[in-house]
Amino acid sequence: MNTVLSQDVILKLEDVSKVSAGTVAVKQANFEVRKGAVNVLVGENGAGKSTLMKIIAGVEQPTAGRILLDGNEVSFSSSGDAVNRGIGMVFQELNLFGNMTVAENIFATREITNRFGKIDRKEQERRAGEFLDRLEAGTRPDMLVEDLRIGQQQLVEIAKAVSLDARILIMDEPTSALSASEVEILFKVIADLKARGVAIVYISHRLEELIRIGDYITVLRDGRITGQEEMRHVDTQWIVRQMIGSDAKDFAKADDHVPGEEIFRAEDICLPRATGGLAVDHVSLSLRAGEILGIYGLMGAGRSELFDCIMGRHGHASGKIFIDGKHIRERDTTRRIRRGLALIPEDRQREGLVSILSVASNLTLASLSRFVRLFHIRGGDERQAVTEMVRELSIKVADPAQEVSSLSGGNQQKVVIGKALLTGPKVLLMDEPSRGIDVGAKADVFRTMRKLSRDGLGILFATSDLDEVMALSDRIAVMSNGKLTGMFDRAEATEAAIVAASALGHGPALARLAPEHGEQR
Amino acid sequence: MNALSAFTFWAQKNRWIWAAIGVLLLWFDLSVVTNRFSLSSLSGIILSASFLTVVGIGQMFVVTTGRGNIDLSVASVITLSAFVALLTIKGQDANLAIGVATAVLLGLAVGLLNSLLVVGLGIPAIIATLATGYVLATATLLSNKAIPGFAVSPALKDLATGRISGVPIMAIIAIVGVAIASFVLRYTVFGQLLSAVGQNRTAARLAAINNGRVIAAAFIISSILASLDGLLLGAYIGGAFLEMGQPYLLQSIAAVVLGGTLIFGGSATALGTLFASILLILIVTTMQIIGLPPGAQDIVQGIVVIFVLALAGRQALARRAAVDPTDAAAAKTGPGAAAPLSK
Repeated sequence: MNTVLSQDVILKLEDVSKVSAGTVAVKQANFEVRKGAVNVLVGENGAGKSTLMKIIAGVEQPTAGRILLDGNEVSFSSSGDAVNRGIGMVFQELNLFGNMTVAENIFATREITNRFGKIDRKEQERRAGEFLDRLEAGTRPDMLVEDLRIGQQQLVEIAKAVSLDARILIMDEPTSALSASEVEILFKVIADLKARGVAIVYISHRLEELIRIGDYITVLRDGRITGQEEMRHVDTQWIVRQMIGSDAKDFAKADDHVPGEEIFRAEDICLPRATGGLAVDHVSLSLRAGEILGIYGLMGAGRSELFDCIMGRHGHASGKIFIDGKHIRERDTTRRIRRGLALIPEDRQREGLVSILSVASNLTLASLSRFVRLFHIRGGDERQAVTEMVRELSIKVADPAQEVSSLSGGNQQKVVIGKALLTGPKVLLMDEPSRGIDVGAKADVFRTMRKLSRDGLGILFATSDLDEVMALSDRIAVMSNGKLTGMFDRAEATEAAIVAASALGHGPALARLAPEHGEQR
Repeated sequence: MNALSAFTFWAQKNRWIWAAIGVLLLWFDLSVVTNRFSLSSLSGIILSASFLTVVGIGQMFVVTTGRGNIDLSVASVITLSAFVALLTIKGQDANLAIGVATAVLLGLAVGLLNSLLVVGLGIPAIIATLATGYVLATATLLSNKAIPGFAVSPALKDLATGRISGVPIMAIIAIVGVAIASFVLRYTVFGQLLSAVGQNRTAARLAAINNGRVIAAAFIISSILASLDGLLLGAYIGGAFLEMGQPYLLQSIAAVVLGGTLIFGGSATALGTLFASILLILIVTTMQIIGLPPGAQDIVQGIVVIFVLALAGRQALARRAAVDPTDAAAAKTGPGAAAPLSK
């Protein structure tokens, strides 16, 4: 970048890395924040955006690297430190106190007190009112936060950050719960802050939104910064390319077995969102035995939520599911597993494995009742099943009694798959089966998927990787904003068509506003 | 109907009112059923309730920090403090200052120990404070052996048993304590922090609140109040005996939850603790009048606490359930985020 630009840099991260619990969340990131500009940060889920922002906001400390504020090296030991230096943050999760009023929340830890330490409520409410008016929040400062809509709560959170009078304001997904008109007001406030020289760091998954308000964009993938550019030089495709990357992958060859009869069908699956609207919006699809159906969608498209609904993890989901043409009336996960459904969850560490148990114990965890006679587990049977599964999936482990956490990511994933297979499923749901495992292991997992489909299992897998969905699927379903927006046979699918379907109705605020914005310029 | 809904709304924010209503009903009942009940007998009840209120306020601070924080060491602190008071004051007014200072120090030490265990070492409060209580019980046994005799300083006895125009001084102490606690909760930064930490610890941490310090302060307040309470209780009964603090273990927790302080933390009412203390003593007195054996009295008290907690838990669940669907419905019909999706 040229010298004119570097003068505006207020905050600079140099080679910052963050290692937590053995995994690298951020790898040698170099990130510059310019004042009087909206610095956009974008990346897939788990790319390390939030971690990077928490480092800037002092919530987390970097393992390596330097932070330069106005050219001087600084280190923040707590978020209070960062606030004192003029760095404020709107957190993605709402961090409000429900039992307190709006004003009390805005002034939490910065209460206005008189000489005797008595809080001056009137003054707090008056000043809070000013910030709320600027945001046109439509809430009174003396209302309890728990009585507000989620969108209004988000505005309170934003008002809180704005009231800090920060020089650098980080906004992590500030619009996720806002309505279209509220987004407009927020953008006005952002423009106002920008004009006053505030540096804004803006994180969002809504690409159109980013392109509209961003001045500079930085893309993160797997903890690395993969692209940094001025916004006027980039378009959606550039962003997506930087976000998803184009690693050469070894996809197992398709064999030409013909899928059998319909084995699974979902009808009208709906899941209401806590913030209003539907996370899964009337999704219906069917799957044949031996077929691999890939579900493609961007972050927040509702893929994982759909799987959760099918598995019965949400009590308030509606819709019908059928296995072998039979309506499944059971609503709880336990009995749905018994009916032949199995899920390979997205978050392997938290939902897929019990990390302190051995490989063997993890494998048989979901199917222990198979090995039980009266009230004890038949060790011989269990061991035999484990040995078979280790061989079948070629899990690389010296001794199945080893702790599962000692395996590599790819082999851990195979253990999760093996655990699901031991329950004797007819339909396997795989949520991002290749996430966080190296290229070689990915190929292994893909081969396993092929093999299972050849054996007559129906496989539904969700991914945000375009190459993966193109190469592995017999059919491709595309989701966007909770809706099924496309269904393609492998023969007729093109990248362009899939990407177009995945962007349908994306960014509720902008679907309508984008044309207006075009006219304004 | 409108007045009723207005009252329900008001009562949601002023949960102490239920305990106050309970007190009035039970007192009215007793006055009608038995002729023995009068204003003067009420003042006796208020005297007993005052001792409960003081320790209850401390307990309230701890409970308000949330995450199942509770102080089970208060009973042992009360007993030990009464013994230590006898040892240090030796019935002499001259030693009173030393006695009070020792009581405060004792409370401070126990409070620090509790916070070290809970905040520093991360031991669940229910186990940590139970263990502290056991350790203190041993100390009590030792001081029981060393005790020279039951002599109470006259000034202290006046304080614990005296009356000003019919009103027990102890009741005035309790009411002043409640007023101070109310002020602290509502109008000071510490009160706000306490409430914030109890409601949402992550948010509090992100707002740069030192959670550990706030929780530690609550434990220290609880222990000091329990210790001072023990000092006064000893003076009131004119001595000390093992297990004298025991009834205050369940009762202090009962007074907190019955008064309307949320057992999940984050919201406290000192006034509620006061009324609930009176209500609990009234219940005990009623049972004594009826002639129930002490064991049965404990059973009734336990049932009251379970009943109140069950009610509070149901309310919390109902509230959570009520929030979600209305939100979804509002967004569907209104100009919310969902509407433009269909385009």
